[in-house]
Amino acid sequence: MAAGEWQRLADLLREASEGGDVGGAVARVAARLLAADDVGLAVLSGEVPSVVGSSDRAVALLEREFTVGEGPSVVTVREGRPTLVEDLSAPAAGMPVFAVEAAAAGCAAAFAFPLRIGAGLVGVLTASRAARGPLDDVAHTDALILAAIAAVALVGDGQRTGVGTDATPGRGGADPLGTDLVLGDVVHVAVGMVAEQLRIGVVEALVRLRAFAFASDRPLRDVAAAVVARELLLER
Amino acid sequence: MSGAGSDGVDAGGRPAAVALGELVRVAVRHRDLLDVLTLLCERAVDVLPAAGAGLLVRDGDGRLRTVAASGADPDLLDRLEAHATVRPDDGPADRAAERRTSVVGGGPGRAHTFPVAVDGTVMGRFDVFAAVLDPADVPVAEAFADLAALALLRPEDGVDGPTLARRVHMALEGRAVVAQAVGVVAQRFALDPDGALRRLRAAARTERAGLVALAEAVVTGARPLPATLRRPGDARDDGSR
Repeated sequence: MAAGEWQRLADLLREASEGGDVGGAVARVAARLLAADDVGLAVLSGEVPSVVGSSDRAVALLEREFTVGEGPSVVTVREGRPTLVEDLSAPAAGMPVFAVEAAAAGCAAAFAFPLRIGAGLVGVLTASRAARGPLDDVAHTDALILAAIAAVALVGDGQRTGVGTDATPGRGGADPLGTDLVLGDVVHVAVGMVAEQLRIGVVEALVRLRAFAFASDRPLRDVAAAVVARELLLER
Repeated sequence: MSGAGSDGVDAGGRPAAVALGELVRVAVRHRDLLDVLTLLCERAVDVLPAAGAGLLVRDGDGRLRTVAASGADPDLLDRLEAHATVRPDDGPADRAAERRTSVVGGGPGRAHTFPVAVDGTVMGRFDVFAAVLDPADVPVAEAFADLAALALLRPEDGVDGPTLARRVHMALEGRAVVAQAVGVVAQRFALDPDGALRRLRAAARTERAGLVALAEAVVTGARPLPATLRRPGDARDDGSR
Protein backbone atom coordinates (compact mmCIF):
# COMPACT_ATOMS: atom_id res chain seq x y z
CA MET A 1 0.00 0.00 0.00
CA ALA A 2 1.52 3.28 -1.06
CA ALA A 3 1.83 6.17 1.37
CA GLY A 4 -0.66 8.20 -0.66
CA GLU A 5 -3.21 5.43 -0.32
CA TRP A 6 -2.79 5.36 3.43
CA GLN A 7 -3.41 9.08 3.56
CA ARG A 8 -6.45 8.70 1.33
CA LEU A 9 -7.71 5.89 3.55
CA ALA A 10 -7.18 8.00 6.63
CA ASP A 11 -9.04 10.94 5.08
CA LEU A 12 -11.91 8.74 3.95
CA LEU A 13 -12.23 7.09 7.31
CA ARG A 14 -12.17 10.39 9.13
CA GLU A 15 -14.84 11.74 6.82
CA ALA A 16 -16.93 8.64 7.12
CA SER A 17 -16.72 8.53 10.89
CA GLU A 18 -18.55 11.86 11.01
CA GLY A 19 -21.39 10.40 9.00
CA GLY A 20 -21.26 7.14 10.94
CA ASP A 21 -20.45 5.00 7.88
CA VAL A 22 -17.04 3.66 8.84
CA GLY A 23 -17.76 0.20 7.46
CA GLY A 24 -18.88 1.47 4.07
CA ALA A 25 -15.81 3.70 3.82
CA VAL A 26 -13.44 0.84 4.64
CA ALA A 27 -15.20 -1.39 2.13
CA ARG A 28 -14.97 1.17 -0.68
CA VAL A 29 -11.29 1.89 -0.04
CA ALA A 30 -10.58 -1.84 0.25
CA ALA A 31 -12.27 -2.54 -3.07
CA ARG A 32 -9.93 -0.15 -4.81
CA LEU A 33 -6.76 -1.21 -3.00
CA LEU A 34 -7.40 -4.90 -3.51
CA ALA A 35 -8.53 -4.48 -7.13
CA ALA A 36 -11.77 -6.17 -6.11
CA ASP A 37 -15.14 -5.67 -7.76
CA ASP A 38 -16.88 -5.78 -4.40
CA VAL A 39 -15.89 -5.78 -0.75
CA GLY A 40 -18.27 -6.65 2.03
CA LEU A 41 -17.86 -6.45 5.78
CA ALA A 42 -19.88 -8.58 8.15
CA VAL A 43 -19.88 -7.71 11.83
CA LEU A 44 -20.78 -10.50 14.21
CA SER A 45 -23.30 -9.01 16.59
CA GLY A 46 -26.18 -11.09 17.77
CA GLU A 47 -27.71 -13.94 15.80
CA VAL A 48 -27.44 -12.42 12.35
CA PRO A 49 -24.24 -10.67 11.21
CA SER A 50 -24.77 -7.07 10.19
CA VAL A 51 -23.42 -6.46 6.71
CA VAL A 52 -22.11 -3.40 4.92
CA GLY A 53 -20.33 -3.20 1.61
CA SER A 54 -18.75 -1.20 -1.15
CA SER A 55 -21.86 -1.81 -3.27
CA ASP A 56 -25.35 -3.29 -3.06
CA ARG A 57 -23.98 -6.41 -4.71
CA ALA A 58 -21.29 -6.76 -2.03
CA VAL A 59 -23.96 -6.67 0.65
CA ALA A 60 -26.21 -9.10 -1.23
CA LEU A 61 -23.36 -11.59 -1.76
CA LEU A 62 -22.33 -11.59 1.87
CA GLU A 63 -25.92 -11.92 3.07
CA ARG A 64 -26.43 -14.88 0.74
CA GLU A 65 -23.36 -16.59 2.17
CA PHE A 66 -24.70 -16.43 5.69
CA THR A 67 -28.19 -17.41 4.53
CA VAL A 68 -27.05 -20.58 2.75
CA GLY A 69 -24.36 -21.22 5.38
CA GLU A 70 -21.69 -21.74 2.77
CA GLY A 71 -18.89 -19.65 1.28
CA PRO A 72 -15.47 -18.25 2.12
CA SER A 73 -16.78 -15.78 4.72
CA VAL A 74 -18.65 -18.56 6.50
CA VAL A 75 -15.49 -20.65 6.63
CA THR A 76 -13.49 -17.70 7.93
CA VAL A 77 -16.00 -17.00 10.70
CA ARG A 78 -16.05 -20.68 11.63
CA GLU A 79 -12.29 -21.18 11.61
CA GLY A 80 -10.96 -17.69 12.31
CA ARG A 81 -8.47 -17.71 9.45
CA PRO A 82 -8.32 -16.23 5.94
CA THR A 83 -10.12 -18.25 3.27
CA LEU A 84 -8.86 -17.60 -0.26
CA VAL A 85 -10.95 -19.09 -3.05
CA GLU A 86 -9.64 -18.17 -6.45
CA ASP A 87 -12.27 -20.25 -8.24
CA LEU A 88 -15.58 -20.63 -6.42
CA SER A 89 -16.91 -23.12 -8.97
CA ALA A 90 -14.01 -25.56 -8.52
CA PRO A 91 -15.16 -28.76 -6.77
CA ALA A 92 -12.17 -28.45 -4.43
CA ALA A 93 -13.61 -25.19 -3.11
CA GLY A 94 -16.42 -27.25 -1.58
CA MET A 95 -19.09 -24.57 -1.84
CA PRO A 96 -21.32 -25.64 -4.76
CA VAL A 97 -24.51 -23.93 -3.61
CA PHE A 98 -22.95 -20.52 -3.00
CA ALA A 99 -20.85 -20.84 -6.18
CA VAL A 100 -24.00 -20.99 -8.30
CA GLU A 101 -25.49 -17.94 -6.63
CA ALA A 102 -22.20 -16.05 -6.82
CA ALA A 103 -21.81 -16.87 -10.51
CA ALA A 104 -25.32 -15.59 -11.17
CA ALA A 105 -24.29 -12.33 -9.51
CA GLY A 106 -21.10 -12.19 -11.58
CA CYS A 107 -18.65 -13.26 -8.88
CA ALA A 108 -16.03 -15.95 -9.62
CA ALA A 109 -13.45 -15.56 -6.85
CA ALA A 110 -13.68 -14.45 -3.23
CA PHE A 111 -11.16 -13.85 -0.44
CA ALA A 112 -12.27 -13.63 3.17
CA PHE A 113 -10.19 -12.25 6.06
CA PRO A 114 -11.07 -12.40 9.73
CA LEU A 115 -11.58 -9.15 11.62
CA ARG A 116 -9.88 -9.77 14.92
CA ILE A 117 -9.30 -7.86 18.12
CA GLY A 118 -6.50 -9.93 19.56
CA ALA A 119 -8.07 -13.33 20.20
CA GLY A 120 -11.61 -12.10 19.59
CA LEU A 121 -13.33 -12.48 16.23
CA VAL A 122 -15.31 -9.35 15.33
CA GLY A 123 -16.35 -10.22 11.80
CA VAL A 124 -15.09 -10.79 8.30
CA LEU A 125 -13.89 -8.71 5.34
CA THR A 126 -14.58 -10.37 2.01
CA ALA A 127 -13.26 -9.19 -1.35
CA SER A 128 -14.75 -10.68 -4.47
CA ARG A 129 -13.88 -10.50 -8.13
CA ALA A 130 -15.66 -11.22 -11.38
CA ALA A 131 -12.56 -12.96 -12.75
CA ARG A 132 -11.06 -16.17 -11.43
CA GLY A 133 -7.49 -16.04 -10.15
CA PRO A 134 -5.41 -15.69 -7.01
CA LEU A 135 -4.88 -12.61 -4.85
CA ASP A 136 -1.31 -11.40 -5.30
CA ASP A 137 1.08 -10.95 -2.39
CA VAL A 138 0.68 -7.20 -2.16
CA ALA A 139 -3.11 -7.36 -2.16
CA HIS A 140 -3.02 -10.18 0.38
CA THR A 141 -0.91 -8.11 2.74
CA ASP A 142 -3.04 -5.02 2.21
CA ALA A 143 -6.15 -7.07 2.96
CA LEU A 144 -4.68 -8.18 6.29
CA ILE A 145 -3.90 -4.59 7.20
CA LEU A 146 -7.33 -3.37 6.10
CA ALA A 147 -8.95 -6.13 8.13
CA ALA A 148 -7.02 -5.00 11.20
CA ILE A 149 -8.15 -1.42 10.62
CA ALA A 150 -11.75 -2.45 9.99
CA ALA A 151 -11.85 -4.55 13.16
CA VAL A 152 -10.83 -1.68 15.38
CA ALA A 153 -12.93 0.87 13.50
CA LEU A 154 -16.09 -1.21 13.62
CA VAL A 155 -16.09 -2.29 17.24
CA GLY A 156 -18.10 0.19 19.18
CA ASP A 157 -20.07 1.31 16.13
CA GLY A 158 -23.48 2.52 17.25
CA GLN A 159 -21.99 4.44 20.15
CA ARG A 160 -20.43 7.05 17.93
CA THR A 161 -17.00 5.82 18.95
CA GLY A 162 -15.70 5.71 15.44
CA VAL A 163 -12.37 6.75 14.09
CA GLY A 164 -10.75 9.72 15.73
CA THR A 165 -12.79 9.99 18.89
CA ASP A 166 -9.93 8.72 21.01
CA ALA A 167 -7.12 10.47 19.22
CA THR A 168 -4.91 12.35 21.60
CA PRO A 169 -4.42 15.92 20.45
CA GLY A 170 -1.05 16.57 18.92
CA ARG A 171 -0.34 12.94 18.09
CA GLY A 172 -1.71 12.90 14.58
CA GLY A 173 1.43 13.86 12.65
CA ALA A 174 3.37 10.64 12.58
CA ASP A 175 0.33 8.43 12.40
CA PRO A 176 -2.02 9.53 9.64
CA LEU A 177 -4.63 7.00 10.66
CA GLY A 178 -4.86 8.38 14.18
CA THR A 179 -4.09 6.58 17.38
CA ASP A 180 -7.58 5.19 17.44
CA LEU A 181 -6.82 2.64 14.75
CA VAL A 182 -3.93 1.06 16.56
CA LEU A 183 -4.80 -0.33 19.95
CA GLY A 184 -1.78 -0.30 22.22
CA ASP A 185 -0.78 -3.05 24.61
CA VAL A 186 -2.37 -1.22 27.51
CA VAL A 187 -5.76 -1.32 25.79
CA HIS A 188 -5.42 -5.05 25.14
CA VAL A 189 -4.36 -5.73 28.73
CA ALA A 190 -7.34 -3.72 29.99
CA VAL A 191 -9.63 -5.60 27.61
CA GLY A 192 -8.40 -8.88 29.08
CA MET A 193 -8.92 -7.64 32.64
CA VAL A 194 -12.46 -6.41 31.95
CA ALA A 195 -13.30 -9.66 30.13
CA GLU A 196 -12.18 -11.70 33.13
CA GLN A 197 -13.81 -9.44 35.68
CA LEU A 198 -17.20 -9.37 33.94
CA ARG A 199 -16.92 -12.90 32.47
CA ILE A 200 -17.54 -11.61 28.97
CA GLY A 201 -15.70 -11.98 25.67
CA VAL A 202 -12.87 -9.69 24.68
CA VAL A 203 -14.83 -8.01 21.90
CA GLU A 204 -17.63 -7.10 24.28
CA ALA A 205 -15.03 -5.97 26.80
CA LEU A 206 -13.58 -3.55 24.26
CA VAL A 207 -17.05 -2.24 23.47
CA ARG A 208 -17.65 -1.68 27.20
CA LEU A 209 -14.33 0.15 27.58
CA ARG A 210 -15.08 2.35 24.58
CA ALA A 211 -18.57 3.10 25.80
CA PHE A 212 -17.15 4.16 29.17
CA ALA A 213 -14.50 6.30 27.50
CA PHE A 214 -17.11 8.00 25.35
CA ALA A 215 -19.55 8.56 28.18
CA SER A 216 -16.87 10.05 30.41
CA ASP A 217 -15.26 11.98 27.55
CA ARG A 218 -11.84 10.46 28.18
CA PRO A 219 -9.40 8.94 25.69
CA LEU A 220 -9.63 5.16 25.46
CA ARG A 221 -5.98 4.80 26.41
CA ASP A 222 -6.46 6.75 29.65
CA VAL A 223 -9.42 4.62 30.60
CA ALA A 224 -7.46 1.47 29.78
CA ALA A 225 -4.49 2.65 31.86
CA ALA A 226 -6.81 3.35 34.80
CA VAL A 227 -8.25 -0.17 34.56
CA VAL A 228 -4.77 -1.71 34.45
CA ALA A 229 -3.70 0.39 37.46
CA ARG A 230 -6.86 -0.81 39.24
CA GLU A 231 -8.03 2.75 39.71
CA LEU A 232 -11.15 2.02 37.71
CA LEU A 233 -13.48 -0.95 37.93
CA LEU A 234 -16.23 -1.22 35.33
CA GLU A 235 -19.56 -2.26 36.79
CA ARG A 236 -21.48 -5.25 35.61
CA MET B 1 20.04 -19.30 28.01
CA SER B 2 23.20 -21.15 28.79
CA GLY B 3 26.57 -20.07 27.57
CA ALA B 4 29.67 -22.13 27.11
CA GLY B 5 30.04 -24.95 29.60
CA SER B 6 27.84 -25.30 32.64
CA ASP B 7 28.24 -21.87 34.19
CA GLY B 8 26.71 -19.92 31.32
CA VAL B 9 29.81 -17.77 30.99
CA ASP B 10 32.67 -18.24 28.61
CA ALA B 11 36.34 -18.22 29.59
CA GLY B 12 36.57 -14.51 28.87
CA GLY B 13 33.62 -13.78 31.17
CA ARG B 14 31.16 -12.83 28.42
CA PRO B 15 27.76 -14.41 28.91
CA ALA B 16 26.22 -15.78 25.73
CA ALA B 17 23.12 -13.68 26.34
CA VAL B 18 25.17 -10.49 26.34
CA ALA B 19 26.85 -11.47 23.08
CA LEU B 20 23.53 -12.34 21.46
CA GLY B 21 21.98 -9.13 22.74
CA GLU B 22 24.82 -7.10 21.29
CA LEU B 23 24.41 -8.86 17.96
CA VAL B 24 20.70 -8.16 17.81
CA ARG B 25 21.38 -4.51 18.50
CA VAL B 26 24.02 -4.37 15.80
CA ALA B 27 21.86 -6.28 13.33
CA VAL B 28 19.02 -3.83 13.87
CA ARG B 29 21.11 -0.68 13.65
CA HIS B 30 23.88 -1.59 11.33
CA ARG B 31 23.25 -1.56 7.61
CA ASP B 32 26.28 -3.50 6.43
CA LEU B 33 25.27 -7.14 6.32
CA LEU B 34 28.81 -8.43 6.06
CA ASP B 35 29.89 -6.58 9.21
CA VAL B 36 26.97 -8.03 11.09
CA LEU B 37 27.72 -11.57 9.95
CA THR B 38 31.41 -11.27 10.69
CA LEU B 39 30.76 -9.97 14.16
CA LEU B 40 28.36 -12.86 14.63
CA CYS B 41 31.11 -15.38 13.83
CA GLU B 42 33.58 -13.63 16.11
CA ARG B 43 31.18 -13.52 19.03
CA ALA B 44 30.30 -17.18 18.52
CA VAL B 45 33.93 -18.08 19.09
CA ASP B 46 33.97 -15.83 22.16
CA VAL B 47 31.14 -17.68 23.86
CA LEU B 48 31.50 -21.20 22.50
CA PRO B 49 34.49 -23.50 23.11
CA ALA B 50 35.36 -23.29 19.44
CA ALA B 51 38.52 -22.77 17.45
CA GLY B 52 36.61 -21.01 14.70
CA ALA B 53 33.23 -20.36 13.17
CA GLY B 54 32.01 -19.54 9.71
CA LEU B 55 28.89 -18.79 7.79
CA LEU B 56 28.18 -20.27 4.38
CA VAL B 57 25.32 -19.01 2.25
CA ARG B 58 23.93 -20.11 -1.09
CA ASP B 59 24.72 -17.77 -3.91
CA GLY B 60 22.54 -17.20 -6.97
CA ASP B 61 23.63 -20.52 -8.44
CA GLY B 62 22.71 -22.42 -5.31
CA ARG B 63 26.35 -22.99 -4.34
CA LEU B 64 27.51 -22.60 -0.77
CA ARG B 65 29.90 -19.69 -0.29
CA THR B 66 31.72 -18.57 2.80
CA VAL B 67 30.41 -15.09 3.53
CA ALA B 68 31.91 -14.58 6.96
CA ALA B 69 34.31 -16.21 9.38
CA SER B 70 35.56 -15.65 12.90
CA GLY B 71 39.00 -14.82 11.64
CA ALA B 72 41.09 -14.44 8.53
CA ASP B 73 43.19 -17.49 9.36
CA PRO B 74 43.78 -19.27 6.03
CA ASP B 75 43.46 -22.64 7.77
CA LEU B 76 40.03 -21.75 8.99
CA LEU B 77 38.91 -20.55 5.57
CA ASP B 78 40.36 -23.68 3.99
CA ARG B 79 38.47 -25.87 6.41
CA LEU B 80 35.22 -24.03 5.69
CA GLU B 81 35.67 -24.48 1.95
CA ALA B 82 36.76 -28.09 2.32
CA HIS B 83 33.72 -28.72 4.43
CA ALA B 84 31.55 -27.18 1.75
CA THR B 85 32.80 -29.74 -0.75
CA VAL B 86 32.37 -32.62 1.72
CA ARG B 87 28.65 -31.90 1.66
CA PRO B 88 27.68 -31.22 -1.93
CA ASP B 89 24.35 -29.53 -2.15
CA ASP B 90 22.81 -30.84 -5.31
CA GLY B 91 21.00 -34.01 -4.22
CA PRO B 92 17.66 -34.38 -2.42
CA ALA B 93 19.29 -36.39 0.37
CA ASP B 94 21.77 -33.61 0.96
CA ARG B 95 18.99 -31.04 0.91
CA ALA B 96 17.23 -32.98 3.67
CA ALA B 97 20.48 -33.42 5.62
CA GLU B 98 21.04 -29.69 5.40
CA ARG B 99 18.05 -29.04 7.60
CA ARG B 100 19.62 -30.94 10.49
CA THR B 101 22.40 -30.17 12.85
CA SER B 102 25.31 -32.52 12.15
CA VAL B 103 28.97 -33.17 12.78
CA VAL B 104 31.44 -33.50 9.95
CA GLY B 105 35.12 -34.42 9.81
CA GLY B 106 37.59 -35.14 12.59
CA GLY B 107 40.61 -33.69 14.35
CA PRO B 108 41.08 -29.94 14.13
CA GLY B 109 38.71 -29.82 11.18
CA ARG B 110 35.76 -31.30 13.09
CA ALA B 111 32.78 -29.07 12.39
CA HIS B 112 29.40 -28.85 14.07
CA THR B 113 27.10 -27.49 11.46
CA PHE B 114 23.79 -25.73 12.07
CA PRO B 115 21.21 -24.87 9.42
CA VAL B 116 20.54 -21.21 8.71
CA ALA B 117 16.90 -21.37 7.80
CA VAL B 118 13.54 -19.66 8.02
CA ASP B 119 10.30 -21.62 7.73
CA GLY B 120 12.15 -24.68 6.48
CA THR B 121 13.86 -22.78 3.67
CA VAL B 122 17.58 -23.30 4.13
CA MET B 123 19.63 -20.27 3.18
CA GLY B 124 22.94 -21.57 4.36
CA ARG B 125 24.93 -23.12 7.16
CA PHE B 126 26.67 -22.00 10.34
CA ASP B 127 29.79 -24.03 11.12
CA VAL B 128 31.43 -24.21 14.51
CA PHE B 129 34.83 -25.86 14.64
CA ALA B 130 35.30 -27.72 17.89
CA ALA B 131 36.38 -31.20 18.93
CA VAL B 132 33.44 -31.48 21.33
CA LEU B 133 30.39 -29.28 21.79
CA ASP B 134 28.68 -29.49 25.19
CA PRO B 135 24.91 -30.13 24.93
CA ALA B 136 24.42 -26.84 26.78
CA ASP B 137 26.23 -25.05 23.97
CA VAL B 138 24.01 -26.39 21.21
CA PRO B 139 21.10 -23.98 21.81
CA VAL B 140 23.58 -21.10 21.89
CA ALA B 141 25.03 -22.14 18.53
CA GLU B 142 21.49 -22.54 17.17
CA ALA B 143 20.68 -19.03 18.35
CA PHE B 144 23.66 -17.70 16.43
CA ALA B 145 22.45 -19.56 13.32
CA ASP B 146 18.95 -18.13 13.75
CA LEU B 147 20.37 -14.64 14.17
CA ALA B 148 22.28 -15.11 10.95
CA ALA B 149 19.03 -16.05 9.21
CA LEU B 150 17.35 -12.92 10.54
CA ALA B 151 20.24 -10.72 9.46
CA LEU B 152 20.09 -12.28 5.99
CA LEU B 153 16.41 -11.52 5.70
CA ARG B 154 16.87 -7.78 5.99
CA PRO B 155 14.60 -6.18 3.40
CA GLU B 156 17.36 -4.54 1.39
CA ASP B 157 18.87 -7.95 0.89
CA GLY B 158 16.06 -9.42 -1.10
CA VAL B 159 13.02 -10.28 0.96
CA ASP B 160 10.02 -8.80 -0.77
CA GLY B 161 8.07 -6.15 1.10
CA PRO B 162 4.75 -8.00 1.30
CA THR B 163 6.39 -11.03 2.89
CA LEU B 164 8.05 -8.92 5.51
CA ALA B 165 4.95 -6.82 6.08
CA ARG B 166 2.89 -9.94 6.58
CA ARG B 167 5.40 -11.30 9.05
CA VAL B 168 5.30 -8.07 11.01
CA HIS B 169 1.52 -8.06 10.88
CA MET B 170 1.34 -11.58 12.27
CA ALA B 171 3.78 -10.68 15.02
CA LEU B 172 1.58 -7.73 16.00
CA GLU B 173 -1.54 -9.89 16.03
CA GLY B 174 0.22 -12.34 18.31
CA ARG B 175 1.30 -9.51 20.54
CA ALA B 176 -2.29 -8.33 20.92
CA VAL B 177 -3.45 -11.82 21.91
CA VAL B 178 -0.68 -12.12 24.50
CA ALA B 179 -1.53 -8.69 25.94
CA GLN B 180 -5.19 -9.69 26.32
CA ALA B 181 -4.14 -12.92 28.04
CA VAL B 182 -1.90 -10.90 30.36
CA GLY B 183 -4.99 -8.89 31.32
CA VAL B 184 -7.05 -12.01 31.97
CA VAL B 185 -4.32 -13.61 34.10
CA ALA B 186 -3.64 -10.34 35.97
CA GLN B 187 -7.31 -10.03 36.88
CA ARG B 188 -7.71 -13.72 37.69
CA PHE B 189 -4.80 -13.90 40.12
CA ALA B 190 -4.53 -10.26 41.26
CA LEU B 191 -1.11 -9.90 39.63
CA ASP B 192 0.48 -6.91 37.97
CA PRO B 193 1.02 -7.23 34.19
CA ASP B 194 4.67 -8.24 34.61
CA GLY B 195 3.74 -10.97 37.05
CA ALA B 196 0.97 -12.12 34.73
CA LEU B 197 3.34 -12.32 31.78
CA ARG B 198 5.86 -14.28 33.88
CA ARG B 199 3.15 -16.75 34.84
CA LEU B 200 2.07 -17.11 31.20
CA ARG B 201 5.64 -17.67 30.07
CA ALA B 202 6.31 -20.21 32.79
CA ALA B 203 3.16 -22.12 31.85
CA ALA B 204 4.12 -22.03 28.16
CA ARG B 205 7.52 -23.47 29.05
CA THR B 206 6.06 -26.17 31.25
CA GLU B 207 3.45 -27.07 28.67
CA ARG B 208 5.92 -26.79 25.81
CA ALA B 209 3.31 -24.63 24.13
CA GLY B 210 3.80 -21.49 22.09
CA LEU B 211 3.13 -18.32 24.06
CA VAL B 212 0.60 -17.03 21.53
CA ALA B 213 -1.24 -20.36 21.35
CA LEU B 214 -1.46 -20.54 25.13
CA ALA B 215 -2.55 -16.89 25.30
CA GLU B 216 -5.32 -17.63 22.82
CA ALA B 217 -6.51 -20.51 24.97
CA VAL B 218 -6.53 -18.27 28.04
CA VAL B 219 -8.60 -15.61 26.29
CA THR B 220 -11.05 -17.82 24.42
CA GLY B 221 -11.27 -20.74 26.83
CA ALA B 222 -11.23 -22.90 23.71
CA ARG B 223 -9.18 -25.62 25.37
CA PRO B 224 -8.32 -26.75 28.90
CA LEU B 225 -5.68 -24.71 30.69
CA PRO B 226 -2.78 -25.84 32.87
CA ALA B 227 -3.52 -25.69 36.59
CA THR B 228 -1.47 -22.53 37.13
CA LEU B 229 -3.74 -20.57 34.79
CA ARG B 230 -7.12 -21.98 35.73
CA ARG B 231 -9.63 -19.77 37.47
CA PRO B 232 -9.36 -20.39 41.23
CA GLY B 233 -12.12 -22.74 42.28
CA ASP B 234 -12.52 -24.30 38.85
CA ALA B 235 -11.69 -28.01 38.86
CA ARG B 236 -10.72 -27.53 35.28
CA ASP B 237 -11.21 -24.56 33.02
CA ASP B 238 -14.72 -24.91 31.66
CA GLY B 239 -14.28 -22.56 28.76
CA SER B 240 -17.22 -20.52 29.99
CA ARG B 241 -15.91 -17.30 28.51
